[in-house]
Amino acid sequence: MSIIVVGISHHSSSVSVRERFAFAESEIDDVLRSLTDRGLAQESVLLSTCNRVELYVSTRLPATEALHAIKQFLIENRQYQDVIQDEIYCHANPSSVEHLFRVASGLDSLVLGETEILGQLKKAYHLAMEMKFTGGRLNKVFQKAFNVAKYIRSNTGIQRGSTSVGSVAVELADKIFDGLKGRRVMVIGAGDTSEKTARSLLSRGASEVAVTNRSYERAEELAGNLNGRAVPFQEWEAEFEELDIVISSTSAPTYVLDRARVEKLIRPRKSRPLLLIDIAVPRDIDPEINELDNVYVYNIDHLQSIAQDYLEQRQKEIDTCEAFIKEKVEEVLGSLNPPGHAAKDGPMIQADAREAG
Amino acid sequence: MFVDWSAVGVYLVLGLIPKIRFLGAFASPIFFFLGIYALMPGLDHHDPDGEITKNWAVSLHAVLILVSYGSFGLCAVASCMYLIQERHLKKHNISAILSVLPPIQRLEAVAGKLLIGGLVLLTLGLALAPLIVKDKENLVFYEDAKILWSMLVWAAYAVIVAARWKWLFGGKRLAWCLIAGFIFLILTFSATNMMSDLHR
Repeated sequence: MSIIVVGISHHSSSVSVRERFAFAESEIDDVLRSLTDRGLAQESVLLSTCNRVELYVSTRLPATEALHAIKQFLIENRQYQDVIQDEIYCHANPSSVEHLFRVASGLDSLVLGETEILGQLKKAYHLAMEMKFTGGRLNKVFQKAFNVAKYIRSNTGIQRGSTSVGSVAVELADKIFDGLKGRRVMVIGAGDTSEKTARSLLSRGASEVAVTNRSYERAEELAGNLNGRAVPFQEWEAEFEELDIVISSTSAPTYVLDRARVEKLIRPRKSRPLLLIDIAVPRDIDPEINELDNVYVYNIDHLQSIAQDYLEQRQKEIDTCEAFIKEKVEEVLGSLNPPGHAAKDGPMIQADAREAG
Repeated sequence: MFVDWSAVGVYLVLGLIPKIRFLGAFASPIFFFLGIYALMPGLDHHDPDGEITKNWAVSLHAVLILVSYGSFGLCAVASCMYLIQERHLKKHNISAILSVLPPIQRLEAVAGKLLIGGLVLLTLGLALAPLIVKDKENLVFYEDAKILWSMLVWAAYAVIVAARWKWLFGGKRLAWCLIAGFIFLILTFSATNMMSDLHR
């Protein structure tokens, strides 16, 4: 029995190709049933996310034959008629199991170490299990994958830290304020990154977002998106005393907040800390403000540098994770193919357009 | 040695509160070195007349004051942690996020509470002093180094508490005041004892 994976991901293809292979949840039952009815799979799980579509299959067919047949099945099922180059990858065990463990641990994700994929994989597995498309082999392999992912998350730094500007800002706020619950945030200006940063803070308990912009309509629009309130641009200083976090992202050519202005504004605050996040280029906030007591200024370079540092730390953990995964792959395959049984292992095969025809 | 043990005791009680438990990581080396310092010969004296153990007011006076010093010690520890974390944040280091130190606002709050607790204990301890010296004739309190020193320590910490309450005095300045206060206290404690007829 071989364990096969056939799939397409952000590594191998662009979104315009991936979206042609995506499956809705309502289609999964039919697809897996069709796979089984054709004798291509005894057990199967289908994973379909925005970054990958993968079929995990346990099959009695010889590996080479199974890989080709399942790939063809995928192409025909999605009625994909364009030429396939290297977009579709195919692995047989042990590479297929290794791939699954890597995917579950976030090592194959767009953002190294991200944790969302594990939830998506669990969901895909449970769906297939409820539909009775899994059996002893895939159950064992997937359960092992989840255990491997959990171990890697707990014992390595692969998932440590934040890799987006918004989540770095939240972590900084966590190190300044004793809890984000009830913190008051103001967004000056508008922009995708400032909106995402505000959302991240709100998701962690910040109680209120006030938005101010030279255009009051734009402020109202963003405030509406964030369930906050708009403040006229001439009046935002009056709110300053009560704020905890300010996110600035305007297109002003000069500083919106200079040192002299902020020194006056922070006097009534006494020693309450204030976090100023400057996402604008050119900068909105005078960097000298960082020298003031109880005020912390972080611009886009600082945030990106921290995110980059985190990413590099995660990269360093890869070797450790890979070694652990190899060990666990041998373990699980050993338990699926105990001594005395002929191993049905097949090689790793990368699909070839000419071979597919 | 009693200051050391009283600081440990205060920590063991406060450590039951999860948000304050972090102090132990930084406080432990300080307790250790304080303990070694206390082993220096001549610092602690026996009580041959049994004045401390037989007189409840003297015992309580000593215990309250020394426990208050322990509280000020933990205050200084929290302040050190505050300054370290504050520096990381100002320098935009990734250490600011990666460090296991709690948020600076919590560190300041904990230091503030320990400060008040210490001052209350010190006040209660010093309030017992008139009971203890009432039978001592010819005592001129301002000629006793320890009494003057104790009043100075009490006044210094009282000013910090008042400034914090009135003007929300805090941040780095508060941290440095608390650290300086405790360093002064611990370095001059033994010397003033030796200079005081009452406390020698």
